[in-house]
Amino acid sequence: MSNVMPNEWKGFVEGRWSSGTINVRDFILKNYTEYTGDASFLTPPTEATKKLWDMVIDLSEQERAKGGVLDMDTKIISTITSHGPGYLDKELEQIVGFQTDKPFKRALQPFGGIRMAQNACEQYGYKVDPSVVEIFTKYRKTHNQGVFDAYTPEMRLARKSAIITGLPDAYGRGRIIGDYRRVALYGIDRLIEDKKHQIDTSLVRMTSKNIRLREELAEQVRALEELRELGKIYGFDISKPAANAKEAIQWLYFGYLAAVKEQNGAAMSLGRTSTFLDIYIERDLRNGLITEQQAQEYIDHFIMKLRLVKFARTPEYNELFSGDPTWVTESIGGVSVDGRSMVTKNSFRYIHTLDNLGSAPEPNMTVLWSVKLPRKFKEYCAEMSIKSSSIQYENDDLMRVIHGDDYAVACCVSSMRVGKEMQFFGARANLAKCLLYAINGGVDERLKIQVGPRYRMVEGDYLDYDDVMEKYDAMMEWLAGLYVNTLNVIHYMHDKYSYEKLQMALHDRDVKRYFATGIAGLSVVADSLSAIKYAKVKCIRDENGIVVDYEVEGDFPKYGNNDDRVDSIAVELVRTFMDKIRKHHTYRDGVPTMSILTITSNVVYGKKTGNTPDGRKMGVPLAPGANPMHGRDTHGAAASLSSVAKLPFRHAQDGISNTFSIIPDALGKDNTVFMGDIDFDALMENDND
Amino acid sequence: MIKPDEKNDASQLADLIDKLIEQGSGHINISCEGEDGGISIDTFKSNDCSCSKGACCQPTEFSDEDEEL
Repeated sequence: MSNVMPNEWKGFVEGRWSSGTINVRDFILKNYTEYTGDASFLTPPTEATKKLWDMVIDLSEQERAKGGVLDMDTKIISTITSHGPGYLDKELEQIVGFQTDKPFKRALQPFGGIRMAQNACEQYGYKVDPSVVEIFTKYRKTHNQGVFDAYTPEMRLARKSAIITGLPDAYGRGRIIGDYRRVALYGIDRLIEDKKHQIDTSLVRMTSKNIRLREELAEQVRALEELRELGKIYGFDISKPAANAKEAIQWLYFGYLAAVKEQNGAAMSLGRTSTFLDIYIERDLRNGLITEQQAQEYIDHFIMKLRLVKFARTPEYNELFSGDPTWVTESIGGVSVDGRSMVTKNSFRYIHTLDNLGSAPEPNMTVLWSVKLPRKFKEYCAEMSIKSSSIQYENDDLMRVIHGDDYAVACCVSSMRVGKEMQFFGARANLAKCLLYAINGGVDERLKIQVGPRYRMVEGDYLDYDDVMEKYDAMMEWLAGLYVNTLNVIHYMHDKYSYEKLQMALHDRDVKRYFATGIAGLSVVADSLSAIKYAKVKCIRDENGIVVDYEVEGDFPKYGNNDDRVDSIAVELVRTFMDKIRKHHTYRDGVPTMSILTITSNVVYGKKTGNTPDGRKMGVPLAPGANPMHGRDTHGAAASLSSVAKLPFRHAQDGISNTFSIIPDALGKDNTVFMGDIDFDALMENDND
Repeated sequence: MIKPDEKNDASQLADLIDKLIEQGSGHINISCEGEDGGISIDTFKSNDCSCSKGACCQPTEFSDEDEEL
């Protein structure tokens, strides 16, 4: 690497980023311009933007009229360079590039699983070319095939019974954020040079670990070469650093585009790009090269492209989501470790696209909120939330302590340092079902077959708390082991057959890996155990002696009412299950995290979970996340929050969810805001409520 | 342009988010829907996917192998 600053970096403050190391964070901290003003500088959409967006709307309507998919590629296997250029209107587009050769045409991505690719096509009346099917069944193994080769019968049963569910064993796992900013700052040639240096300095003692690393680095170099080729397909030379704002956005987008051409991952997040790009925009504005309107147009067109990322999804996806969400999460704002807000004018421009292009769930605009953010930015975010319902907020003051000031959110909430950390996505273990297995000695209450270990069933007419807890502890021990081992199989095979080579090429060599796990049904279990402990729960058995229903005699404390008698049960469950997870070897020494979730999946889990001892009936959704069961939090939102707040964050670092509602008929009418059935102003006066 | 009362709402909502963050909320989603001239706001206090279409809700996809069981 030459010590002379390339012309493309003229005007930037030098630092470690420019002296031989790949260090985007250093570049940002040395060069960004904090903005504390209001939104008055923002500009409306240009005529070109309006025309392009009208075309998008028209194509969207055509897509809906065709049943959800306008076009699918059934023959060309999607790779970084598989397709020629695609445009909406080449003359109008400031930022270009689609996953295939035209917008709204979905790519064929069979590396995760050929059957899933076929299912997705057939769902919409398309058929994968037979030659492709032959290649991916006879000659080229997929991630899905690898997983099922290694699954034990027990793992397959656990999958079928849904005691473990949401397993990413059929396509891309997602939750990996390439540092796409590197493409713009350094250009491909420098990144390849760095990767080759990483290979040269990697261990040569050929253990399986070192062989894998060397092979992966070689794959990464190949991916970068393909990315450079992708630029050429669209007429750009991205081998060198971006020279201006427009190029910086385009280079960065090419990096992201290559990732979504290569991977059909659930949650293909963008990272944290707005402040980075602001540096280029500020330089161009300062030099009189662009106007504010042009800057906004670039961002509008960039965001438009992100909104048009599409994957071929399967019937299971449609059943859950009634659509095809992609979760292109972009993290905005936050505070640097030196105490400066990282809000720039470009933070506003990104959110302003919700005005210029209208509301949309994609990209998933995520504001890294700190109490230290500028007041005017906070109010702008809040205003746009009210107008668009399209912004989510993450606690930067919480995350910054763990990840520093250059992390981003993958998916909805999984935080990681960009280019330095990644997550193995972890599916869910259904703790409510696990309790039923404990009661029935491992027999599934719905399928009536032995799924868990054949432990002793409960005996007698009434459940005994100590007896159930002893059995439940043993069943959780089994489930934790099975769960982690199942995930180990999945991630091993994904690396082997569907490796994210482009995304990992935009990481450092030695990344920290999080091994995500999750639990569902926490409040159902807490309430069930509370019922067993504080009321009397009578067992109803079927003709085979399997407990299939329960009669609760008397009342019992319910989770979500700030009642320590039951809240302590929930706390202990989280701690116990996480400790059991931690006992097991994780693939590539991933650091285990756990989340407690979620709304939609709880509907699905509820369908597959029998009657529970708290009186919940089979099929009724499990309460979302750590939430109290619907209707059982009788003491209001503050009590509900207090119950959730007791859950130990240390044992659930990947997340604890709680849902409540603000029902403010007063909003806009007077100065009082109500949260649920309590006065929020009163709550604000007391931090500890 | 936002109306004056929307400004007031935004200011209050900013205070609300500030307070939730100070109290340790991880993740907040806000959706607003018109309701008899008022606004209904749902927030999700969490550190995890709680938006109704969260990617963490990724489904299990069933394959032929699974159906054989």
